[in-house]
Amino acid sequence: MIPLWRPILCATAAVVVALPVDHHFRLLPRQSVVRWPLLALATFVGSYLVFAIPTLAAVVAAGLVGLEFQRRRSFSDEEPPRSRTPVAALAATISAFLAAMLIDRPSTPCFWDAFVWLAKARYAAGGLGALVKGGLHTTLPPFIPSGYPLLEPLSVSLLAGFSPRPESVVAGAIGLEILATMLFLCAIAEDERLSPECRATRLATVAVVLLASPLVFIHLRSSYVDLPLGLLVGALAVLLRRPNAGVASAVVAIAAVALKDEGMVHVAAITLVGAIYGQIRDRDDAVVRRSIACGLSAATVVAAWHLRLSVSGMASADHALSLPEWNRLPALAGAVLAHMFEFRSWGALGVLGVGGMAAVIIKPRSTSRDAVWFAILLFVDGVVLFAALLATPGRVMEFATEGTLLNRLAMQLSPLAALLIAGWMSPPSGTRLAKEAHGS
Amino acid sequence: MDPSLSEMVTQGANRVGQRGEATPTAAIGFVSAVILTVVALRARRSRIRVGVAVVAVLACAIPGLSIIEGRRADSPTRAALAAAVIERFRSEVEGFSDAHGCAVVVKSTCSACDPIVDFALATSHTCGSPAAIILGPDALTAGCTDARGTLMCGNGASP
Repeated sequence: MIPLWRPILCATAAVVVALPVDHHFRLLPRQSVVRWPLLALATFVGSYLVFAIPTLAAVVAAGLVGLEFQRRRSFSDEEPPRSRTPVAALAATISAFLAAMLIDRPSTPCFWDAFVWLAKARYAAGGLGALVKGGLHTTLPPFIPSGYPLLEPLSVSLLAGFSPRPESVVAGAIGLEILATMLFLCAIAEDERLSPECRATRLATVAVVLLASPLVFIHLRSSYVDLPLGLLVGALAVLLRRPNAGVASAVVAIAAVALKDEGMVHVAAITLVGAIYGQIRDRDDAVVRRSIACGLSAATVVAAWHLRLSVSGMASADHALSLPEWNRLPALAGAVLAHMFEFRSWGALGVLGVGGMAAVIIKPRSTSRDAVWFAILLFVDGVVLFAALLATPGRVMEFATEGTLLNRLAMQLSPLAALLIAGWMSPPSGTRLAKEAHGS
Repeated sequence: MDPSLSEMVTQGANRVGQRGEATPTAAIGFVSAVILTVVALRARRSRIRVGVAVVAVLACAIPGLSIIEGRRADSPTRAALAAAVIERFRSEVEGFSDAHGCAVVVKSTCSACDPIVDFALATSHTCGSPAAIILGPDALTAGCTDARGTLMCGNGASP
């Protein structure tokens, strides 16, 4: 029996911890459901900064004090008008994801990486400081790969209430998945740029596309970190273009890079596309500013963590990039194609993702603006990940071509692909249907 | 259950089918992507796109979902048994380590056991003279015995 009461109780406590700070500084969108998973995530990110990168935590605290001075001078108490959320669609979609997570799920981990990640969470039961200490010493312990960021085991341990029991850490991992899923779905459901009907359709499409992908279904029932990371990346892609979601986007971006090193690749791609797309296509300075702010926040956290690693004499051997080895290109490209179009693992997601992306990029006026945004994001993110693979150590490349890595990277892109497919089904921009969908 | 249980532990979250199975679907997938792109480029109404996508999603999900629900060691009818085998192995290793202060694997020919041992030993402390664990190829399913302070797991385990 998985003690689900633990993550529910601990997530509530995490919300309560962050609530007074947010209430005072008005950092997150107030009249919004997405605020609640964001508050819990902000507590976990805050714990990560305090325990893993205390100097940066001090800088953030100083920044909040500075914000307090600015707030007294110029902050407005005006809230943006509340837009109607399709509550029934949101509740149905979250229930479908929850059911997929819990049906036939054993109370013990069953897959390789689940053991590795949850071993770290069990170790963290000795105290959050113990995990950071273990992660910063070469001799201790063997199951913490050197240099990896530690937000995932920190969060799982917090959500498990610091219990090392296997069923408790599994419950903590489920809690993190639920948190990431809620963030992703709430970000879509509350996108005030779209009409409530359009948001409901988009939610349903994303849910059907993801839940009908067999490997996504497996990952929902496992404790791997790739799907939660992908859901955060998807949430960031939606939040970035929503007004009043600057701090929310930054929290999600920092969480993404602190979950896994690949998070920085995704955030870098989103920053690049956001800055260029916001300037050229959206002609919205706010999108450009938000993108750059997210990229800089995330890069600062990564740089500070790597500085602390180097001071401790540690290095992430698996993720150290070098010059690209072009002779790997044919084998890697072949492996990528074989993985993307493997029906048994991905169902139609690979076909629809690639087909939709090609259709949108070739003929952008035939579809919605959102589809163009998601297609360019998916393309750039995929290309950057592919380039990073060309420049990784030989051991990682072996994982990639043997098939244990590429599907996990694809898992990180799957929510973005689902968003693209949902956006691609929306009416083309400028048409009467599109205007109705955008509520104008 | 073995070797599908070992396959599930080592590769279960990386692909749906078994390693080494023929995968003729890549070519079909590529051709489908091209056809889909052409249909999408020609479709003016979003309803046609929705229709294409729904048919593709439902048709393509069936082979993978049927494998997940019927053939794999984590399928609903077999998941409880697989979890029980993993849980027994973990508790044997963890119990042995707790009883001896700490433990370390000195020899392993069971690749699926390695991450489970890491998971089991995550809560144990370090000590001066750790007890030895030896893992044979069938360690996961065959069980362990404490032989004079050494945990021997599997029928093929030898010092």
